[in-house]
Amino acid sequence: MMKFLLLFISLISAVQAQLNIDQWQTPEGAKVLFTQTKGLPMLDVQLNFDAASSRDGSQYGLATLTNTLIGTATDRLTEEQIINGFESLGSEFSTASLKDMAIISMRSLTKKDVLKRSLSLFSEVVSRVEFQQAYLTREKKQIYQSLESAKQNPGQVASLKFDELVFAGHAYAHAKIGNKESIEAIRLQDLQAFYRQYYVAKNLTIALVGDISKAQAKQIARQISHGLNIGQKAKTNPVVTPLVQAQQVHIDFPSKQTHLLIGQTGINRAHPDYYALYLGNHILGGSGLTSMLSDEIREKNGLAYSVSSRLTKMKSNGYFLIKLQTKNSQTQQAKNIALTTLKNFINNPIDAQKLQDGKDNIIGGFALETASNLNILTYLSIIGFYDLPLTFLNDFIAKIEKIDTKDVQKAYKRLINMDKLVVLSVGAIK
Amino acid sequence: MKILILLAFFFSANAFSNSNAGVSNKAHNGITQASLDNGLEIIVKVDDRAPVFISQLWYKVGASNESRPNTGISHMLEHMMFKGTNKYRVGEFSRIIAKNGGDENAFTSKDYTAYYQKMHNSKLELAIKMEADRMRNLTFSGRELEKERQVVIEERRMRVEDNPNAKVFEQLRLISYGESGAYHAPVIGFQADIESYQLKDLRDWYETYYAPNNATLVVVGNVDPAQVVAYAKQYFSAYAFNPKISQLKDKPPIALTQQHKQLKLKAKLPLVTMAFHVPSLNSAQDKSQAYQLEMLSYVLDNGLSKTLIRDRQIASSIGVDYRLYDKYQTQFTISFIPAQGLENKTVINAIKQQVTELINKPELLTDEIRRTKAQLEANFVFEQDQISTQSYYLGMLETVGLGVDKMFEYVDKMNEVVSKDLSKAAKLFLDFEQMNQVELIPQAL
Repeated sequence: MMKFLLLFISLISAVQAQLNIDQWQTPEGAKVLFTQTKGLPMLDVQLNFDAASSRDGSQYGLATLTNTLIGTATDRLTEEQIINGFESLGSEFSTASLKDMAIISMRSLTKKDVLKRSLSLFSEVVSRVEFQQAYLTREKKQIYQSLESAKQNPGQVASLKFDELVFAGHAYAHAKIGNKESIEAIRLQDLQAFYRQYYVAKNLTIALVGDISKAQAKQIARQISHGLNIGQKAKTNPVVTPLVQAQQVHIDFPSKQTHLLIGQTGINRAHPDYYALYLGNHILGGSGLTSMLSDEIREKNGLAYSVSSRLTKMKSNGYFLIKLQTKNSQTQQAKNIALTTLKNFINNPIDAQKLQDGKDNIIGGFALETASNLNILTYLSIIGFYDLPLTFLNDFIAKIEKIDTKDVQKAYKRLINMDKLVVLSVGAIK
Repeated sequence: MKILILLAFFFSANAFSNSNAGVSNKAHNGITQASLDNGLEIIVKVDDRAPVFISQLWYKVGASNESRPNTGISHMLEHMMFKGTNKYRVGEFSRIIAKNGGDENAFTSKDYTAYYQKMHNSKLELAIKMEADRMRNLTFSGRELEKERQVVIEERRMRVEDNPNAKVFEQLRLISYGESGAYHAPVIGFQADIESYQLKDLRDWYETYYAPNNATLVVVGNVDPAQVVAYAKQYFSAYAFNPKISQLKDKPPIALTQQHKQLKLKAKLPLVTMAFHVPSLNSAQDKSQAYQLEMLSYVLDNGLSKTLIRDRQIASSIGVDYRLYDKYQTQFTISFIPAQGLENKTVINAIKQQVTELINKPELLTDEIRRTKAQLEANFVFEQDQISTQSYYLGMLETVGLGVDKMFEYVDKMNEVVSKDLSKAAKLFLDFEQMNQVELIPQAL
């Protein structure tokens, strides 16, 4: 079998200038995005349900727990049968739960028999879920361990607290794995009800990438969606509102470094300043060693190994965040430099050369964004889940090219109020 | 398998013939290999799914070459490689690569140091030209060293000092290997050593190891192999062969056994790691033993996850690790976090019991082995999705001295392993009397 596969790999070649995406709906109402890639005899399937922790309501951790239990049992198969089934086929099954997306995915070879059996097992696992008390009890214990594990990691302590502060009062504020009390209170019926409401065709975006035809893709999407209830698309959550006052918070932690997080409410992907903010963040702290923050904090002053800024572009608005770690005694110095860099960035247009360098990096490297099936899969999921136009990637370069230094400055001025920042430190200040 | 692959491939040794004097070529398994007169090895694999490439330059130097007070110096030098050459001033390397759409970085390990650029395929020459420049022309600035030293110490704080689990694995190497041999010291170095290198130490390290005959250029992507070789020749061939490379002393690890250590650290969860000295593929007399150990690691990982995590629920996580491709002999490790409130001993006993069962009743493993083989065959294809994974294996295999063919033999070799082999390997190597062990005993935060 290997011989055949290798032959296949080496003979086929394809150079993609642009990404071709097909989109359609299954009869049950699931949205499907598909890109055919040639060269490797494999298929990636990713199911993105709008069923992540922002759907927890008051039952923190319910979404993650529900997602975790998918793959433990169906009305016909035990956990060991499911695991052994995927393993025998060489297929990879995995689940992940974020704040917007609950993800179930599978990677399989496209060899006819293997693909057929993998898909049949996959759709059974997704659509004929049986939640069993034994697995719920076990997974709760696993979550208690994860909660403990998070407590010994200053980076995780900081990032959970930052979410709480920046998303205060919103469904994004709590930890996606919940807390001890909220997990203890979750019962089997809660999982069943959650699954019934959210794991439905109309609440699903299917992304398919690999060496299959469009006809095959249609049939595969149909097969997956057919087993699901039609249901309803989840209602839109309210957007995260901008912070109304500055917050300085310190958590004492016996670590050698202080983790410093500075930020504010951010944007979603429909925001009118999206491209200016994207390009600006790339230049400010999103592009590794060449970014302005890295230059100031690391290259000029040797204060940190890692310093970056990011914009999470979530459905109901994400956050803007500057993050660094430095030895405890240098915290104040690093904080001052980070804040000054941000302030200058907002108050003065950046150097035209910096802007051009940033554009050149994004545009010149754009081919890397879709250079693997996995990358394409992620983009299809994002485009589908966040209702972006299919031309999103193909238009990206033109949108970036148009941005000038004033656009960047104005966009950041609109987004970031220096007087209303969250400034969070986790470490030992002594 | 090889014959078919050869047929499939349009590159043949003839494509290069001898027209390119000073370059020798061979091509098989879809790989083009060449070397320059000065000893630089070149490996090219065409992957034209997208108009991009990754170019990596691998040096045969890493922590296993180091000793006190210079532990971590390979890694420190890796950082200094971004600090300017005669031609490009500080930071310019990264700026130029970025401006040309590149994604670049570097990594240091026990047995190698490697640098890479991922770019659009129109930038191939630039990547090779710039990487070649810093093989020989680095300017060592004392001011830059002082800053970068602080950056590396911050890196150590983040990765190790503030991470109790990382400390456990650092401790395991300290107790498992003698101080004067390889694999004892951490890759990033001891803090006291990081604090004390002088510019001269770094320059000496660079002069000693950064030579064409101690390096391999690996390019994977939508490139023409002949063009890669031509650029390599253009930009590297002026560098002289360094005769001292072959006189460098090998410093194999010194295996210590029956070492036990309890680490009391501020933490919430305990962690136990148990380690057994075993041969790697490189060090094994009987090469099949290495593949048997590799299969054993998969089968035990799956088996212990099933029994201890899913069925008995006495552990919340478990991992079995074997480093098939280490340059020297290595360790086979079993690490776990016990379930809440359980004694480490309970889990250790359960592991021993499962290993004993594996030794006595290998026939019970038949299905698990069959499934693992299916996964490995599929994985071989899946791993080709990322050009960086492909180039990693090619560069690493060449650098540790195994050669790139090992990548293509892997699945076949693993398919040869049968259940009785695992029983034999477990009996021979998993001796709990001899093992080394580190236990993390959590102290209140």
